[in-house]
Amino acid sequence: MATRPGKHTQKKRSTEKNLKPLVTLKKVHNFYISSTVICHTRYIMSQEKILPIFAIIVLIIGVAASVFVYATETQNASETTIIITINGNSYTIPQLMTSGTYKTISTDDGEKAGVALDELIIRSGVECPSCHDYTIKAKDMYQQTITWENVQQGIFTDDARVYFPNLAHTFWVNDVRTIEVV
Amino acid sequence: MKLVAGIFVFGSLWGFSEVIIGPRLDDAGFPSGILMTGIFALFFLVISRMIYKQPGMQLGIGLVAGTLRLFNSFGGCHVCSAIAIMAEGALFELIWYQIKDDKHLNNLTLQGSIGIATAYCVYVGGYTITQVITPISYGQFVIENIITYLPQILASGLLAALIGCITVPFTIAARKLPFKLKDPFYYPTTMGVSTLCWSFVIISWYVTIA
Repeated sequence: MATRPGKHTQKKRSTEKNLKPLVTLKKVHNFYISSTVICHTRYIMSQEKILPIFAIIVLIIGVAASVFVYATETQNASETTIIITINGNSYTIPQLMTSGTYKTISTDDGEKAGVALDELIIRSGVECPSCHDYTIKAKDMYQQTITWENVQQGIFTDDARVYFPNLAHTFWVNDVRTIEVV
Repeated sequence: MKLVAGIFVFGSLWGFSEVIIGPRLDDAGFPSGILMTGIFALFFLVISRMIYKQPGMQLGIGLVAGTLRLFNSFGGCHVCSAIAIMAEGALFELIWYQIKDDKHLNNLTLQGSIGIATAYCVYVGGYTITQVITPISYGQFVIENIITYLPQILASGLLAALIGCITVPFTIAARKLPFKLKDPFYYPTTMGVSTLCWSFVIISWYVTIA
């Protein structure tokens, strides 16, 4: 014969039934999923805003730089005869092409012919040429600084360009306008 | 292993296009650097990210493409271009470090925006880095030289950005085409394409110096 549960036991059971845990496993799981979804949505939302803003900033920088470059080049475009300034002295290209020994150098882009660059610098009146470095500046503001050893191997061509056999193309300045003694 | 094969095939294709198509564009009077970055580099980098969904891979692709560029037998500065290509791969990784696939780029605005941002930053960054590292490698770096020329570099990136705005959405759309390389053909195809690219460039280089 089964024993009937006592009054005390019944009360205990009903208390257990009424006492629901504050956070069930299901709720924890749901909370985890919902927080993940919220974070993910926020991430996508932030990306949706940030990417176009970043692209607009990039375009503004590009346009501003283009306007600046265009304004500078318009100022320089007014030149009728190309003047090359070496050590503060001005020369035309025909003058320079008859001022030094014509030589051919071998580069990784084939053979290049022009006037010896070191002779042009010596003729411009630089005292102690080997004591200085030289900054070659182009029409478009590009510039590179080279040593006297580099200058001795370089040539200046009739299209206002300098070539060096043992230097990277980075140092081959186009549209040369100025050679400064540093 | 699949990833390594992927790095080799995409790096080889990018390097091959830099070696073969780049100088041709240059000779024809086109801005080859901008076109190569805006179209070819961006296409190979984005499509590989979409296929493999593996951050870090594009750095490897840049290294392979840059190494192949060193064997270039056709015109151009080898070292500075190789440095620029490797830098472009690294910069792509920085910009796309949180983007693994096209799930986050689900509309044309986002695709165009990331195209603009990536093409501009990759081109301008690669150009600037090569203009810094090349003189440093010759012991002749002068910071004034790069600062003076910076407006030109920033301006030249604008065209690359506009091209990138088209390339990235196009690449993401191309990824959705129903084309998949089946497993048995994966390694033979990737290795075959990579070998073909390298062989062509090295043989051309050997013929040129011989």
